[in-house]
Amino acid sequence: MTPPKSPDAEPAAKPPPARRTPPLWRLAFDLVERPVGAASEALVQTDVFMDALAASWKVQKRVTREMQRGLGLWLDLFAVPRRSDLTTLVNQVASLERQVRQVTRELERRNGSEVAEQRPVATTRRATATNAKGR
Amino acid sequence: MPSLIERQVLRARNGLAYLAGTNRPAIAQTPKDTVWRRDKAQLWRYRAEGETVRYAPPILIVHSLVSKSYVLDLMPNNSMIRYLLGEGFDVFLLDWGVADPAEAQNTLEDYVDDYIPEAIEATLREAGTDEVNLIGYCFGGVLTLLLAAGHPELPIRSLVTLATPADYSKMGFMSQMFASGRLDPDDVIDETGLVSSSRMDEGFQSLKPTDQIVQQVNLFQNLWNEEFVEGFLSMNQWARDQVPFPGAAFRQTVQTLIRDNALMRGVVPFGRGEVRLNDITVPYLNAFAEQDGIVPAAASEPLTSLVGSKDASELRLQSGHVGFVAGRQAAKVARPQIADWIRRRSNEI
Repeated sequence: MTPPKSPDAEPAAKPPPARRTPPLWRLAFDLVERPVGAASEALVQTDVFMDALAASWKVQKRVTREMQRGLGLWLDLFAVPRRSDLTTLVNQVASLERQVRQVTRELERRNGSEVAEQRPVATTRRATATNAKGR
Repeated sequence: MPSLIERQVLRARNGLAYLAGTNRPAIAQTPKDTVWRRDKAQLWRYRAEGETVRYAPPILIVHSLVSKSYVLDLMPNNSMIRYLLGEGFDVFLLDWGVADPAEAQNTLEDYVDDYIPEAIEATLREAGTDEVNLIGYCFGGVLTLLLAAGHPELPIRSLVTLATPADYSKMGFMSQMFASGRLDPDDVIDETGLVSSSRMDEGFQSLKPTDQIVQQVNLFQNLWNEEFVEGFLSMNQWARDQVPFPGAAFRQTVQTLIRDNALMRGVVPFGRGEVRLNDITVPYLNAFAEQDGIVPAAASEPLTSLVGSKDASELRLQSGHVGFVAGRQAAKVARPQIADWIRRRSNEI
């Protein structure tokens, strides 16, 4: 067994230069950021924050839907397709694609062929361990 | 270290390049071939010029459904894939692509019972071996656990999960929002049936509200250091580069994994029956990070005792969520130890 390479062999593992004292502005920033960061991380774990975030996401989704509905009514007046029409179309195409995938798989299973499977290029690193099994 | 004046000049130059967007780092540079493809899923086989495969079976990495896989090959000097190639492994990666409405109905069963077994079959065929070493990263780890538990017939030599949650009651507040019933899956699933990438990003960002400011300050402080800027830009790009989550799989995740905490109970309702983590008997490594804000160590830790493997061990890392695959901790500790663990369960060719 080959021993693991020394970590130094990895370019990213170069020994770091001697630590320098951070500049004053950075010390000042850290002095402010550390308590603020810790407090904000604690805040996101509170029930109040989670309730507020959940409510804001739900409201956001509902407002977006209502706005699109309202806009859609105007677009209908000018016979312009609304966003929901496009989404329906996208979903129909996606559904069609899924059906094609399913039929392709079914055909492959039945025929034992590899219709959809592509092996586009020959590879250059071929292991020679066909029978290398067991420790 | 350059002098004060030199640093200011470098800072100005790099700052202008940053603002103009001209110093974007080249990511995912390791050459690879697509050896199998099904719908959006692709199986890549990596090539390392000048390296030969010295160990078998090959490694198949199953990536998460919520992020892009280039974090495993971030930059040439900071790449998990490149490291494993250099260690003599044949490395494959199963990438899920970017889900669109056609994937909205995908369930966890689709991934575990269809895509991954087919990718394993393709890996065996390409590598000319009869077993694989599996690595699952983050949610990819959940998929590989369900796979190993539900498909004991599959030729898995060993299983490594990286930053993979089991106890969802210990996950961050986003999980708690769903666990407590404040949010239902349909509150975040859009009209095309997906959880949008912006919603995913919003969820991750809110875990550490001041993180973006701190990152920008770190960048300004080290703007003179090109190596730092390059690493920052690549990591920052990945961190904001979320992918949509298929709605059907998301509903299952919320109900089964978050609300029922099924992984923690060791029995997961799956397909028409259930899978038991105790049925996993292959050698198993549970790797997790102590400072992981996305998948806390407490959420991953129980996995070691939940599986039935006699050869089950854990690797604790003093880093964050990506500390396994990118960064200094990855280079110094995670990659060598993971590679060594797999090597000891592989055969020299």
